[in-house]
Amino acid sequence: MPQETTASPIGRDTPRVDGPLKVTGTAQYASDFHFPGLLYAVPVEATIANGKIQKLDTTEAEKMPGVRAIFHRANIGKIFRSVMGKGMEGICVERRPPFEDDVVRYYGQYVALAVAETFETAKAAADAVRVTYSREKPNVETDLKADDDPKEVATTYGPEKRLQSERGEPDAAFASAPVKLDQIYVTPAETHNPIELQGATAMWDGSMLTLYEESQAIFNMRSVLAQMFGLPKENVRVITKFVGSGFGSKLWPWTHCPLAVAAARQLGKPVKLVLSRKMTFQTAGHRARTQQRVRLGATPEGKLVSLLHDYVYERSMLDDYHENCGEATAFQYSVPNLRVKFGRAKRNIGTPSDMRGPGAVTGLYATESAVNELADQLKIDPVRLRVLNEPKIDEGLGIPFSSRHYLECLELGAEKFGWSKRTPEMGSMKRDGLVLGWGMAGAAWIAARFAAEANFELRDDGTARVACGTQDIGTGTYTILAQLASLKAGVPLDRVEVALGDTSLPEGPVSGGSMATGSVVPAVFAAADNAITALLTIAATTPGSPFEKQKLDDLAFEGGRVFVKAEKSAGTVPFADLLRRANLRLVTGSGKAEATFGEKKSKFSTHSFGCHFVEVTWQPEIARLRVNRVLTVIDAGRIINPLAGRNQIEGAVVMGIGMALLEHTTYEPQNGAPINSNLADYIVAVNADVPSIDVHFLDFPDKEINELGARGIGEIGLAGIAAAITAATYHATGVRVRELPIKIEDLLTSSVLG
Amino acid sequence: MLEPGDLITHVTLPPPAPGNRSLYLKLRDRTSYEFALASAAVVITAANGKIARARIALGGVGTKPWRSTEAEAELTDQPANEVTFRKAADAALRGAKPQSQNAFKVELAKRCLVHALKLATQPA
Repeated sequence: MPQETTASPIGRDTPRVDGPLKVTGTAQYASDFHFPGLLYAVPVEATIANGKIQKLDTTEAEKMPGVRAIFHRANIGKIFRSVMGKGMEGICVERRPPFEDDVVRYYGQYVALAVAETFETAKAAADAVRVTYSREKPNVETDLKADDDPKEVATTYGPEKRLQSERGEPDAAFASAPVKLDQIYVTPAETHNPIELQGATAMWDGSMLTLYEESQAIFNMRSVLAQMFGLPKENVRVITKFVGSGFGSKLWPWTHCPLAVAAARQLGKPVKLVLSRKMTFQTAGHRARTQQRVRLGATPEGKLVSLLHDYVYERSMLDDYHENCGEATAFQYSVPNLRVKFGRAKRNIGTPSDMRGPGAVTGLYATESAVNELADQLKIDPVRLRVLNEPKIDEGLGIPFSSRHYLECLELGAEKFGWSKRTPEMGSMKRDGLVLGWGMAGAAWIAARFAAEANFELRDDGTARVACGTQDIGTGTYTILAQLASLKAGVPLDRVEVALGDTSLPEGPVSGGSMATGSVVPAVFAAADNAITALLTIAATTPGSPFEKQKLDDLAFEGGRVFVKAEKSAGTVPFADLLRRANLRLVTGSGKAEATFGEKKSKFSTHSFGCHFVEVTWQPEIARLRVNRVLTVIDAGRIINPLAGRNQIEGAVVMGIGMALLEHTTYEPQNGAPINSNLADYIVAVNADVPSIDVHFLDFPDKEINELGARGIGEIGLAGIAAAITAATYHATGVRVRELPIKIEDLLTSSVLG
Repeated sequence: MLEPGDLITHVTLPPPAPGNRSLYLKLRDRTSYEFALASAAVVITAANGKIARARIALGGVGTKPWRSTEAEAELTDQPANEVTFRKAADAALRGAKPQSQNAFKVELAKRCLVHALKLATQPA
């Protein structure tokens, strides 16, 4: 009797199914693909940030042996613009096709492209192109004053009212509040820096285009490129089998993609273009610098009476990426009077874009910092202040939360961290000759579903296959799909084949917004159910089948086996046996689930929640601050793979340490270049900066999201962590830092001595 | 003097004198894999709480390692205590010309040197 699979694969720590491919170097990332006749392209980067190309001299470069072409505006051929269509289709943050005009609007903008037989020759040729510019002084001013914008502005994702949310009488309530806080918080430009560099390998076969590109959204890439090259969508295929992380930088097409495609078209050969690390700082997006004024009015007892959040973010000269710092402001606290409003400031920079937890991470840094400062001002414990202002419903939308367990997060976090032992006076806690600082902050991140389609197969060798044109950006999507398939097919994980990362597959969700997992669940389940129905139909109709003449409704499928519902004890038959008996290789089903993201009329406000508790150590004699301990509690519904889930939160916390203490992209005021455009000068946390990280998940499945109740976890871990670290820093050093990152020069002013 | 075509093959350092203690302290934003914002290298010969000889160099304050004979002079024949260390640090940084964004390095380098001297003269 074969053993039945009884233990559910859902909620079980599951190592990555693609792990062996990665650790043996056999996983092929986009730029690992090679083709006969492949040519290499290297762009020429503008060395000014504002001005015009006067002359572009390619003579020397063209003469180099092995150079096939130097492309520029006059010879690149037609590249059209793209527009956004219905739903989430056709998103492009930087709309201007490369080489469209002679104007340079940011440093590093591509002005020409060298293509050669080797990468080295292409690089040498790109360096040999002589460009003469007329220069204007670039505007990379860090102080952000809002430009004169209309009340409603166009953004990458559609129109937005600058007055995002308003209730009550926020100005009057703030003016008359007995306790007030009015502060400005600044977050710097940050660059994503996934280790796998961006790059495109394009090839044409007649009017068919294939692109290998590490995309977080292959179907969107297809839509944009089809528009840019005037092709029907079905003529474009985008392949992304593995992604070496994205953090949002690989969500939408950047200008190197159409350049590789156009060069391949002009030369009739496959062309590969991989960005340098420096280029990714210039032309592949970054987190926008923000300047946020937060005003809080409260009663002496700690009840919020007014919250005003006015923020300004930088944007590029032509594009309108919206850094939505107000994402969580309107619902995170109960406050009768509130206003959230934004403004924008144009700069000569490459366009900002989504970076892990866009908007919420920058916004919650400001609002959570303000709440922490208010707690200090009121001499109320910051956990208690949050409990006092816990909302019953989403007061911004006036609808209930689908599932909010923020108070349980705070309670569990405080207990596990030992928060009750905290003494509030700055510099008052010590251990082993070091001053300790304890701080905390809350987190929230949107939860929703993108539309998704999937195919499901049960096969005659007892295996199952699930196919969905989504991506695995290193977060574990292959594994999640395998777990879902294993659950439905009733076969172990090693009997499941997963196909993703190819636009020839059913259209899958974007790997962004922490929504891929939640979106694929209903589509895969529907596809599996359809495949199972097909199997049962075969079982009931195939001559010689043990279930021949049974009614379809009387049959059931469980643990990979078919049986008569009423008489399971009479015998069960594996699906592979039934397929072989019917001489079928496989039965297949397809499934589809609609999007909930962007729904106009929602019944529920769906978000994930969480909190961080942080301990820093402070060594005043050498001004050394280190994050020593982080405890994070996350309420993200059901966690399908806790092993990968903890990994996500840990990674986000590490990124948060970088955000609070290290990371900032600095634009040189004279030439406008992001001057620290390499991994030695752009400081991210290294292993030795990473403390013990303790992650706890609550387990409250959210059935408004999907059958399993699983919300997303990719981004929430980064929300709030910087505010917790700055609060802990204040507690240790007495230095209140309101502009990230915290620098040694800030800490040198500390009066707390050892 | 190196001539064209010369290659440095090795550097010979004298063995540490008996009773010498040396220490290098590096301060930087992150814990590893970064140049120093300020660093201090000290070699101290001390006996009975008194410094007989000191060699001091600072890093991260110029375009090359910065030996401070001024600090060495402040330390020589002085008691190994915090007052002496601070005098040495002040002497090392006297006349430092900070630029628009690195003025903090003056204070940081002082703290770095004081702490390095403290560690190098602690009872073993």
